[in-house]
Amino acid sequence: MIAFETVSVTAGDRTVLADINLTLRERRIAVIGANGSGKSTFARLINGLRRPSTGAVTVDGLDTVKAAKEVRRQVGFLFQDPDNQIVMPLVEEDLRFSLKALKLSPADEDERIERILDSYGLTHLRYQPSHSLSGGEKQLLALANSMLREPRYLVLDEPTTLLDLKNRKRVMTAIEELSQTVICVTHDLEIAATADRVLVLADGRIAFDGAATDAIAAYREMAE
Amino acid sequence: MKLSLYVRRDSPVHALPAGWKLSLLLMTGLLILFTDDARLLGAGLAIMLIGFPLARLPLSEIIHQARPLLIVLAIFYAAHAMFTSIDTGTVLTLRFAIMIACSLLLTLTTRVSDLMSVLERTLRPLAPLGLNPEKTSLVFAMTIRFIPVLAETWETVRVAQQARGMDRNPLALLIPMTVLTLRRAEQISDAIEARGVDL
Repeated sequence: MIAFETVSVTAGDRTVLADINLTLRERRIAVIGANGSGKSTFARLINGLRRPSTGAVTVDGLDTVKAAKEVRRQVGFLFQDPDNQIVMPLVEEDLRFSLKALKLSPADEDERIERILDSYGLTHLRYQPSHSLSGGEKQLLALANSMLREPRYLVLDEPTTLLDLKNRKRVMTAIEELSQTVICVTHDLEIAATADRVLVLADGRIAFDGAATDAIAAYREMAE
Repeated sequence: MKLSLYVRRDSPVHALPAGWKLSLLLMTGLLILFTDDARLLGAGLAIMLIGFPLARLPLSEIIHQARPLLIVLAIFYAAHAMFTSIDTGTVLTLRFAIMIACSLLLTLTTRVSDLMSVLERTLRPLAPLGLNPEKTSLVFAMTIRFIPVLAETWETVRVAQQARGMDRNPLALLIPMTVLTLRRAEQISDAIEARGVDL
């Protein structure tokens, strides 16, 4: 369970998020809203990439600031641009880099890498330079990296924005098959429509919180 | 094939441990300073070049890709031939050519993660002085990883400025490139932190 307790985030004089009180228990949660509404900050709060100015965010009771390391083990994060998420020159090296913190034996590392590459259809790319992958393959590799550490939650920050239709479908199919709780920040209302619960953010506040159909209708109304 | 990146092959050069290859690079760099004999340096360059077919890497493609470097070497040689002497130009150009060939052979045949391990082990004694071996080796790995990404960004900026007729203005290229690179650096830093890598 993820809980926001009176969370506010300010940047200088600007209020990015104001007084957020929430408990997230659903399996699929979408966060939608206009540019600058605070969606990305909301996502980054969940794994401690942003600190709340006031209040606290907890993941299964763990404070995202005080227990950031443990929280990051439980919460995977997928960014919009996979090129910024892949830090090693070869696909295999990048996956191994993700496992560094777990201090597994080389045999265990190999086993996990083989399994994850197989489950995302990336086995043939194992020794390829990561820059030579297509956009969809890079995003799948970034997803594989997040899942490699077997988190309980996955936060997605506009994961399909830079992808074409075919790759978008490929990545979304992979995400739909995950057993983890997924919190997806998106502009894509088609993705939001599949969520169990949708939060609409406007000017740093929760403007709507409810079922997908109602939330999307409310968002459309706000945009007019 | 990108010149800065590892190419997987089954060859004796690839099989050589990364530490040995780095030591050979270092030794070569030192040895070439001890001779001014162009014939010896020429022989050294020939030996280095034999390393590419030995590593099952096509020498013709490597020379083709290294063309910008060869142009720089040619200009360097011509400048020396004009302002100092042909002999000095020959010796210095051969020294640079050996080092370039040696470095290319290293990066093309050695995985960055293996180089990182060597670097981390080598730098470990400096840790009490405040140097973080993991961070230093990661910087090295990321430099290699992001060469193609930065090249793509440069091309995007250049084409965008060309569309505005400003591609000959260095500031119009450098300012957006710097802004985009800094923004990317921030996002990469977030991504590394999100992956829970303990540095």
